[in-house]
Amino acid sequence: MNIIAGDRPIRDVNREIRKALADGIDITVSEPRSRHNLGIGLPSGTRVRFEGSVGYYCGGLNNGAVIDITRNAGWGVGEAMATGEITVGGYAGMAAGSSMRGGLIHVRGDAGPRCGVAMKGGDIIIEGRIGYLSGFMAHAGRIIALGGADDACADSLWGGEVWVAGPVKSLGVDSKLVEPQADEVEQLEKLLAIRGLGDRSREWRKIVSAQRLWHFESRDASAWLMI
Amino acid sequence: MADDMSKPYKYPFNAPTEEAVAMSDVAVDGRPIGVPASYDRGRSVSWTPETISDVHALSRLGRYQIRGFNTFNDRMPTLDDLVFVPATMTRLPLEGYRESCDTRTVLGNRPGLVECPIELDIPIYIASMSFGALSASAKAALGYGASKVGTMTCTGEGGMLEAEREASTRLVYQMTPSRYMLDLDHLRRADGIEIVVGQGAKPGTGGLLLGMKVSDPVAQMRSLPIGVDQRSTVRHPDFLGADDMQVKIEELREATEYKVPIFLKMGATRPRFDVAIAAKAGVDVIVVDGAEGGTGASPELLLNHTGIPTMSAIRAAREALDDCGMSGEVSLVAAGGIRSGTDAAKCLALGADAVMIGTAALIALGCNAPCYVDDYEALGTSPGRCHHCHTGLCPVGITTQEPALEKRLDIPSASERVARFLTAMTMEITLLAKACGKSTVHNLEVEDLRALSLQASAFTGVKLAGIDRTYEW
Amino acid sequence: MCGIAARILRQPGLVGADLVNMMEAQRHRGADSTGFALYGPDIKRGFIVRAMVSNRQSLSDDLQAFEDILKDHGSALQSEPSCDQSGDNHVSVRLLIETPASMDQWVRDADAISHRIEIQSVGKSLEIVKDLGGAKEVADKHGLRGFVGTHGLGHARLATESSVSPTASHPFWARPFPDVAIVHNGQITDYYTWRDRLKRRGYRFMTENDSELLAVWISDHMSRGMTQAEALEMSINEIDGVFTFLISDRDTLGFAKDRFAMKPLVAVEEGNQSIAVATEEQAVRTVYTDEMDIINYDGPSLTRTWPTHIPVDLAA
Repeated sequence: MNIIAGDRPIRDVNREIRKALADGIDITVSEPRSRHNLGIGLPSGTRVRFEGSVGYYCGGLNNGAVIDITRNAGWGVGEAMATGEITVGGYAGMAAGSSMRGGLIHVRGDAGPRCGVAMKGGDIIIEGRIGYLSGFMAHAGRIIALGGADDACADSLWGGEVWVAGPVKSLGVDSKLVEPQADEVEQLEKLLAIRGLGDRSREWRKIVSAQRLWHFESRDASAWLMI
Repeated sequence: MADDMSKPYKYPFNAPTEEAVAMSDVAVDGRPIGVPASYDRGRSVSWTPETISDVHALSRLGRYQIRGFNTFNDRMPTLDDLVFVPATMTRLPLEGYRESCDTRTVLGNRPGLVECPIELDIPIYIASMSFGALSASAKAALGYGASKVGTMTCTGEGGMLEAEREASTRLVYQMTPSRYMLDLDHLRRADGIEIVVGQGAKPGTGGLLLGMKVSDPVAQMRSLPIGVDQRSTVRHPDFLGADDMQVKIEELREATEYKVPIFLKMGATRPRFDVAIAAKAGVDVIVVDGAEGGTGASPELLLNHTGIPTMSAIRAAREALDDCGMSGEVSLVAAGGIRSGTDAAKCLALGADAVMIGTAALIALGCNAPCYVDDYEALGTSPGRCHHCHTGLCPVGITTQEPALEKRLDIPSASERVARFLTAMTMEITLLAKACGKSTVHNLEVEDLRALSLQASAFTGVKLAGIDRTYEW
Repeated sequence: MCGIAARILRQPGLVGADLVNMMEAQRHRGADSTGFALYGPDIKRGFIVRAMVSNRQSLSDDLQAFEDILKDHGSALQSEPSCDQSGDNHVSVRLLIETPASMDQWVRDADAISHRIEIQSVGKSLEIVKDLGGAKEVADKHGLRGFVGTHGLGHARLATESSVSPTASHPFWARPFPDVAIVHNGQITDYYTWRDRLKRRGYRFMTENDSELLAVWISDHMSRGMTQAEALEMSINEIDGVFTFLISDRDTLGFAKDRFAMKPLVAVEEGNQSIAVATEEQAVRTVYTDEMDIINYDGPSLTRTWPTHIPVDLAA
């Protein structure tokens, strides 16, 4: 079934999307014209395809849907996703996968700044480069960039991992490179192979938190009493 | 007069002895002669013992000092400088003990955008305080107490605690920049969603929870390593300004199918502009939190030296809404150091549609109660002076994650205390409103107040007592 | 906090209509006021002036006073000024003037009566039209959809720290430099410091709006020998705060983006060198409806300039 977005109020378009999905129908949405807030909070067991480019927060709060965006996505694609899968055919704007907690985002082009910001789980695969301050204050989860990373990569991580198979322009604050373990790489390549991106010749850089911003200094309560 | 030196004056009597001139060996109150009165008392206004010890502390710590509670800045103009002027000859009062005064309060009444505005029985609700800063028992007790009097609570930075959702008949869900535990299910189970851009205690900065309070359950909910010193971001990760926030608000409405009101909470800094922007960006309820607002932990300098007083912020916020024609459409909630029904009534008169209490609610629960006095002493303080929320060693089990301490907070009696305090606050408000001749607390207005000081008048636009003119220039 | 846009057409065309559509698509980013800086055919001699009279009742007196000041500076009106016929109390006026003996001196004296009539732009080609309301309202009131020109800027405003008025909105003319206009998205945090410095250097500001500062800042640097591109580069390190701004004159249109990568900008560059630039992709889509390759100017500290069409001489 096809729903045309075009110029129509987003509220109406989303209502139609939800209804069709509740009736068990997979849908395509045509003429999204880079408009915002399409496909928010979609449930599991559903499939939606957006033919064209979407605006901000497409697939936001995704709750299990499989979403396919044929061209570009604006800011925050898949933000706060709990589970599910989102594929972006072109470029993903700033804060892709922001604060997501699970699921998978796969971007075929580049990703903008702050990719995976505050993420708390799940995987983000970017075939191109990830932008400035990617992974900023991520808690958990993996950002996988095949094409390289811009400045301040993996800045201020609480946890989580940033894997880059290309040049890293610079590391962010409190992050460090660690030696990838063979079994981790194996697991990573398996995931990439499922997405049609298998390539065992890749050289990986694995970046994690250096943990020096974890504590002010001591966790002793008495150190915190006013003197 | 140097030229007089040529003709020295001579007493017509013998020169006095030093002993005779001195009259005594010691000065008044026992000090040696020639020693100035400031000798043992210090008295430097800028280098007090407190400021001296602060320099010592910073030299040792190499960082700013951190504590909980609220501002200790004694320069704040306070609501105590305002009084009500009830009806006398110009108008008729209502019977304080007999005739009724409506306290029902609706937040987020926006047909077309909000299907279910929030209806409270009283114009007061419990402020957002996180599970993490507070114990789970404290959150539950606040919920039960609020539910008993027909009002609501808010979650706070830690996400939605099941115990709180169960205890509170109405619950606003807070979406902070850190997005801890942000979950579609929680958004859909909330009665309102609050976007946080700052709080009155420490505007311009993010949340803070020290390691000893990042216990296993807290760490789980926030996806943090156990024991880490959590320093949250201040900006939201996926929108960076009021222009983008407008798009984000639409996303939240889509996620909840336009059912619930969207709140915005801000610390009071430039409320005249900030409130106008927030209203234009499309929020339904704006919460302005003044500098006297509390927090579980903050760098002390922020508590004392950032933000403007609640009473000066409310008037500016109301005028901002009036100027852009949004009064009546967008609700205004005041918060920040509201201590009583009297304070709340003054906030309503200054222009708030409702008020939020944080610290006062905790004190009603039992904060600073004179029990377990030894534990207060171990912290270096005493009941009535404790502000050590950041340590996680709260003697009464409110701002702690230690199970042994949390046990001390008995939920049923704590809930009842909160319910009684809210009831008492409401009685205070209605008593004042009725004395001013109002049949609903929402008709309290600036004209019902007078200022006792130039400062209070200048800050709020309230007329000076007696002379009935505002201090203006 | 706003939306901005720019358009360059290789051949003169309906640049006004394109910008109006782009700004209407970004209306949700701000609808306190909307403004356009449009570059039409070069006037043969003298300058085009766009101004706003604050009170329709005194329109003829104010225009007379304006003319008198022109005469004091060796200039004159070339023709009868045209005024908008809307019912609003403030009046938008378009005047064609002869070249004054000293542009700077004339503007200085003309600004002395800015509370009556305020100059919004002066240029051989530039015309700034800005007013209260959204893009559609401003376009309809001022007939912008029919404007023929080569390039232009657009702005949709959500007022942050200054008031909502027809003049305190973007685009800003970088007085006294003819044909230079700016639109800005963001908030500069060392605005007052820079404003004071520039005031001491002799510049005047008509508003408390930080965007006006950028216009003057760039122009000041250019007047001391820098190219637009060099001045844009410099602004990234010298000015504090969050910003993406677009600046244009007759020959060049460029942008600068701050160090923190917070305010977005996307562009489409057609093969024949027409371009459309905007804060949000959906604005660009109103001009290029088919799926075209979008350039995302997403990263920090970016600048770029584009050459605009060489002005076509038409009868003034």
